[in-house]
Amino acid sequence: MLSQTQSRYLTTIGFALLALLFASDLLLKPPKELVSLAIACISALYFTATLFVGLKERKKGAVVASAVGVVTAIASFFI
Amino acid sequence: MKKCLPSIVSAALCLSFVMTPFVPVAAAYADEGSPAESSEIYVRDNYDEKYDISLFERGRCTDSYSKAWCDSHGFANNRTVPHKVKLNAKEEACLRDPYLAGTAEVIAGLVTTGPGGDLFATAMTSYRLFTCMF
Repeated sequence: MLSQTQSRYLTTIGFALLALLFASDLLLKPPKELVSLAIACISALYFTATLFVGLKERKKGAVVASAVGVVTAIASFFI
Repeated sequence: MKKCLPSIVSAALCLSFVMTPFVPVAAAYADEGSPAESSEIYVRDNYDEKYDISLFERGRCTDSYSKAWCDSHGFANNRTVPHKVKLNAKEEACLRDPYLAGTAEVIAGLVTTGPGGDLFATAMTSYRLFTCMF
């Protein structure tokens, strides 16, 4: 697991992005495909960020899990 | 009176336990109504004769049973039957995503950023499922 400060920072940004997307989904009513794409992008972005932080902090478990997260986020387009 | 009280309570409890299995049956019979009532057909405003079932109209009696069975068992109005229904292609596709990608993301979120990341990944997966279904 990444350090507590970094984890809190990343999670807050992730939740903020998700809340922003939810608000814009309610107000602007974009097409569903676009919303799904945006969710996948947020997911990919989040796990990319954790991957970089994991590399910086040299935490193997976090790096592997982040890599799996990134791959899954990209694969979720095609499932 | 004090001596009788435990006996009365026990008898009442026994009776309630014995009668419990019959309550849903009684409710089902009560729901059938009189023949005049059952002749009324309850359908939604957007009822489609071409059998295009929306998500909220799933599980009607004739989806799973014959018309004769439905008529004879108090489902002449083709109301929904409480039982497991088959998912359509869209629903299966929508569920596959949380099963595979969602699970992986939730575990990855937990491993990388702890409970906060787990919660974030769960929220994201739920939102994705909601967007896909509705």
